[in-house]
Amino acid sequence: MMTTNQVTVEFVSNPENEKLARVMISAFSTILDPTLEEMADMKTAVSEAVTNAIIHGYEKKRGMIRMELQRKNRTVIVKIADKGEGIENIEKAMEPLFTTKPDQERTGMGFSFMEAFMDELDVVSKVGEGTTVTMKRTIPKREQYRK
Amino acid sequence: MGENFQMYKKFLLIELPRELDQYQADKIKRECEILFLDQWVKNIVLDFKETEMMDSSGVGMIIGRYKQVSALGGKIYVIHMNKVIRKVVQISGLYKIIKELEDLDAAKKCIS
Repeated sequence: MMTTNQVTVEFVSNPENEKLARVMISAFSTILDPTLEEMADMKTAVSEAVTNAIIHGYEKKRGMIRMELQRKNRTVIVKIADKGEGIENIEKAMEPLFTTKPDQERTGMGFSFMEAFMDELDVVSKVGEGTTVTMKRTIPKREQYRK
Repeated sequence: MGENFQMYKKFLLIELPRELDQYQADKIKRECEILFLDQWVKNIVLDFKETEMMDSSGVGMIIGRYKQVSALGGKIYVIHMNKVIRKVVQISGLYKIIKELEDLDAAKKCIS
């Protein structure tokens, strides 16, 4: 299917930029007129992916995070990529409540949240090269007078 | 003490920010750690009235505070959750360790 629209941004792995990433997906998706809940879901999922890139991908180092937004008709595709440490065992990392940093009040819920709040989640990672998370969410057309 | 923190007789009230992400969660955690050094905090009331988004970092921060107060026999109470926050509380299982109250008046009455 042809891409209707596409935007790419790159930002440094500073926690302040989580907010920027959320504003980006929100602005990009506005044209689909999502409900407040759909919008909050997408923002939360993006927040999780960017947090992972900052905390796990780059840890204490600084690096660039690339956020690619695509829209195909009513589907929003968001790709968050880092060139950080990478994940050794993706299956393990995606297990609910699994975390390598319990001491830092990390819950191990990041991937579960991404799965719960989006329609599709795909994670590609290579140790030493980085991680790319791709998420999709389709925003159904609302009836004009639906409440 | 941060402007979003208020000490009451029986509890600490924290007015949560609009978006409770890693950045904000870390900030609240740090403020709590400083406050807990010289204040006896047994119960915490989290006010979500301004909060429109919470991710798993926010959940982690709440679990961390729960561990601190439950060691003293205290509890975490929440007020003014909207639909979006309620969903996160459900999915994360957070509802098992927090108690929802209607508002600040209810908190003043019910927490002893």
